[in-house]
Amino acid sequence: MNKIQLRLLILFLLTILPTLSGFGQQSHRVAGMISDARTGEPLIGVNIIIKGTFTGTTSATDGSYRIDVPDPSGTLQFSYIGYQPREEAIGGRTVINVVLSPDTKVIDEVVVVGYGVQRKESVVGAISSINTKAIVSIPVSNITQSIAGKLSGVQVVQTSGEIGRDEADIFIRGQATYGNANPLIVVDGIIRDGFAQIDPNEIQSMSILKDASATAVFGVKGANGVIIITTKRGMEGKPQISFTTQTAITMPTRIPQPLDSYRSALLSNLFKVGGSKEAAPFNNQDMLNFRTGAFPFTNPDYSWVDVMMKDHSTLTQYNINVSGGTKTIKYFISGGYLTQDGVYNYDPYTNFSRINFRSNFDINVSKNFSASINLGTRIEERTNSAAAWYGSWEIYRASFALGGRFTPVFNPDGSLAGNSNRTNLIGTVRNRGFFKEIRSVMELGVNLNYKLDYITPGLSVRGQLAFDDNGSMNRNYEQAFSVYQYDLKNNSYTEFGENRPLYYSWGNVYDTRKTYYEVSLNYIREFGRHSITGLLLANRDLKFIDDQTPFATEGLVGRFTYDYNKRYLAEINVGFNGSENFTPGKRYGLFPAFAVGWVVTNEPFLQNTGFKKVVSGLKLRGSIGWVGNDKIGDNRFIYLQQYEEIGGAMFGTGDNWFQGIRQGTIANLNVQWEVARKQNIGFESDFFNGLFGINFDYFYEYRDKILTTITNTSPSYIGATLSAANIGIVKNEGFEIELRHNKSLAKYFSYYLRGNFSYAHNTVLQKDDAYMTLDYQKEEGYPIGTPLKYITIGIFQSYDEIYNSPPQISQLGGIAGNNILYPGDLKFMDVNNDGVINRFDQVRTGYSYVPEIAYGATLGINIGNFDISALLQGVARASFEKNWEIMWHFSNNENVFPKHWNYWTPETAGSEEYVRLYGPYQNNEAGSTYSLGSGQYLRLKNAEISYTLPKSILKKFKAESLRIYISGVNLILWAQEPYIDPDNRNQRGGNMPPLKSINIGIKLNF
Amino acid sequence: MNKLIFLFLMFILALPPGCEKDAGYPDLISGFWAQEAILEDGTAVEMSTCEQSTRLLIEQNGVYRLYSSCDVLERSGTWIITNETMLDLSMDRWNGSNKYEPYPVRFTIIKLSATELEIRIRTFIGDRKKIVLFTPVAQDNLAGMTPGELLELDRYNKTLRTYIYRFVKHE
Repeated sequence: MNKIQLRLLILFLLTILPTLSGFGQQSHRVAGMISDARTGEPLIGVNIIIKGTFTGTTSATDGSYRIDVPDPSGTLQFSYIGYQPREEAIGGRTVINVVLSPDTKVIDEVVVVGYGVQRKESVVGAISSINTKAIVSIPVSNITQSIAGKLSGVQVVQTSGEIGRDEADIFIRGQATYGNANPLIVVDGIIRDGFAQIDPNEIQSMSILKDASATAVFGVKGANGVIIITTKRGMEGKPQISFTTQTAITMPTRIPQPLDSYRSALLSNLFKVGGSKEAAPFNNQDMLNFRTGAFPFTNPDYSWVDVMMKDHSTLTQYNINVSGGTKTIKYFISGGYLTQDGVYNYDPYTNFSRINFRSNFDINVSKNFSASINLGTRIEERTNSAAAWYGSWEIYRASFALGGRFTPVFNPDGSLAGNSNRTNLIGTVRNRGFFKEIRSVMELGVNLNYKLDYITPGLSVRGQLAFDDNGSMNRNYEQAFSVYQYDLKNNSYTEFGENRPLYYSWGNVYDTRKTYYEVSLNYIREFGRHSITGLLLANRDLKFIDDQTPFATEGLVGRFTYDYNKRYLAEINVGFNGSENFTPGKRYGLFPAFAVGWVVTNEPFLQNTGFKKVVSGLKLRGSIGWVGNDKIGDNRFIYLQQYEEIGGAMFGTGDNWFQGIRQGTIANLNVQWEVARKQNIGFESDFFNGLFGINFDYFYEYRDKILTTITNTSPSYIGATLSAANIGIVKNEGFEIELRHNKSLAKYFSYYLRGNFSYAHNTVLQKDDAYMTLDYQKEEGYPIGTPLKYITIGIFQSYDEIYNSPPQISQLGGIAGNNILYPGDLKFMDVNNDGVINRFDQVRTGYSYVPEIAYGATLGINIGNFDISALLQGVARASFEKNWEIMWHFSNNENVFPKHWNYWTPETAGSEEYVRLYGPYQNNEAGSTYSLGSGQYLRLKNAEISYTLPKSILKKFKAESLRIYISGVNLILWAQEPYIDPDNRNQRGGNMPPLKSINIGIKLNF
Repeated sequence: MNKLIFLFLMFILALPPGCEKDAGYPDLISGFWAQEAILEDGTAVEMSTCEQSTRLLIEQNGVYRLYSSCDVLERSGTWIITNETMLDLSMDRWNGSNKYEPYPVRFTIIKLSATELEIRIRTFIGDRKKIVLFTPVAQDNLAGMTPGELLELDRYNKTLRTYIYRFVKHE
């Protein structure tokens, strides 16, 4: 080749090389802005990839991006966490602006399960979950109050709103045992006693495990379902600081308000004169004084409810947390403070305060070795008036139970009024002293994880050690106070009681310590289209409660999951564990569970079909398994023979005698855990790429070997008491539905709807009913806790009706102790048609206090920077007994309520709200459906309006986001029960009702 | 145009409160009432001299006074209206031995105007006898009664009757 040919060759190569390389010399530059579809704000850090390559860039702090692409006809892919991904064909354009929409579908790509996590798409168990956003801005003092109506299969009953002691009872899929039905609580992988006092700002997610496949790994503890709490962890990146403060005003939802003094006195005269033929307690002068209010010191007219209950009290919360990390160490650190004051006037004491601290560290020590340290601590301080240290009885209940027509609140000289028979509630709350409880809790967990990829890829070993300490110190300080009776005529005072200064009365200290050890082998591997995971775990749990014999459990857990091409799923879970509650040699049990799933919409033959366009996701799943319940409460050690020291059997004489002992409860050598066989089938579905979604589960549970008290079927000539025995059987079945819908209608407007409905119905199949109990009166065949009642069919309107109806009085074979009937009395159904009303006419009717139906519906709307949401929550098919103060007139000769004013008379017959007001009580209080309260209700449970400030304003303060919100809880109540909150299941209405709150808060992120 | 609007507003403001509520029951029922008629189960009863002379003074402060020419006492008590049509009077009830006790009696207001008051009570004859339903009646004299007569009397006293009392405003 000569020089000219060489130069031509070089020139040719220089011409074609750019074409061959495709980059650099003839690349096409594309630039643009990326913004949030909802707010219009620029999105920082969005990933932009040239489709089919690994080449890409990220958006800058102002949302701009710039990328050189080799092919102007290619496609760019935009992706950002929390937003729906998007593709844009370049089409030769040089400017492509992109708007990304938030992904309002619940991004639970990973679900926390027992002893691990699983991808949501491969989960075959019945699991519901919510994330922190759904609970953090609700103004409640503990989290148990914030989950009602949000999760299918979960029934929440808050029986008390007492400050600092207002944890709700939680049931998963209703009740399947008349023993202990509390679910298992797991926090960050460790079984713990509770989670109510964890700061909601520390929580990342909450999972509810419902069927056997999800709970079998917990063996003897999983039968009642499992609640798994996962706290937040740090992520790689610069520190993110979040500060939240919120203040709420709170007030009880509903308090019974007694009648005024005048009408109470009227009815009191009716009560005494009409029935008992006694003298009228209030003469005409008294009636005149009450009616005119002319003599407030001798004939007072007030309600203790108005005197004692504040219009509102306050609850304030603060939280600051920081999270972030590097490749080596990630952290989440949080501190929180909550304070809540009491609901009583004149109360200098009542307060609940809590300090929470949590620090979670994840450390990558080396390529194969990682560790995490989780520390959760809190200090809870509860201070109450000494009269209220154990509950609401002496103050709250007394405020609506005690009459305000006997003595005034204050005497003319300002002293506390009262007499030898009547105290003064102001003195009770203010001058009886106070009770203080300080509880400190520390929950520490250390995890070590080592990858064993060098043995086989996907294998790792993990060890976990946890130490919990829960100690409380209680102190009670008492004092006494005098009340004074004013004599108007002589203008003199008589003192009753004694003023005594404050003194230390009693105190105690409790301490619970727990250590937990766990070691496990984990395996995760994909072989082409086959994905498998394996878990083999051993654990031991040792708990010390004060000076009691330690509690211990230990066991082995195994799990194997298989997934073929994300289409066919199978899972086996096994728990083999033991509890020292049971007889040696019979302490261990094997609890297996099997589950399968089919992701129908991943079938190749469905791709690109019309079906797939509509049904974008469909998974069918089913499971069967066995789990246990070892919560036997006070029946611990019943496999040991009991002996007791008794009087009456003396040995020896003179000063050398000693008491003998006798055999106590006969031991049960075969005591064991309850066993539940659980079956579940269900499906999860998505329509139109997440526009709609429906999940459905049907479950059936057969639980036997329930520990049952044996008192009724052992003859008395045995001369001893038998221990409880595992003879009870209950079945429980029902279904759950979850619905969801979300849509963006415009650039700045989107909404979502979430709904859930749960039904759980149990039936006692076997229990120890009393000998010769009639079949229809046995507990067998009815749901747990179904009351035994007469059926009320009306009110007797005349004496003729009484004579012409089956007799109800004892003299004619009727109800024992019921000696007389009047018109205006309750009329009962002759169930067995034997012509007389007696105990054989009582039937099982009504419901248990745990509702069979629970439902909730949430509507959320996003309009630009505004978010609005509301949750309606309700329950049905629940009952509770009503008695004493909230049911009958003049309990303890004290109060009557508005319904009593509308008592039966011949004149008002048909419009009455209550039976006749005079005469003996035995007929009307014999125990009938008349006194069965309905636990059914619908609440506006939560509502919230929030505004997030635009980023353009926050840039000046270097803040990431600022959200201001107003929210409320228990705002409106609709219920059949007219006088008390239906969740207040105390039969005398004596528990403080749940609180209604209205809250304003700010959340600032840096 | 502005003038028209102004005039219209003035007209609206000047309108008498034609939709104001009728005077409340306490205002209407207060006053001095004379008993005009008694109906028993819808049939007018021939009133005795005592009943004809019965006068009822109802005071706004919740007190009432009862006068009758043949009643030895001026009786008094209290009253209250609830649920719009329910009138409760604390009246004298014979305790069966030696005295009267204050006892609430519930009536339904059938008619109440500036000049007329009509109230109804459905009650047992036995209760009617015991209560001074505006005039006292003779109590049962059980002395010398046979068991059969006592039973018959008991049945009679347990019979329901509807009584309507009409009063007119007395100047």
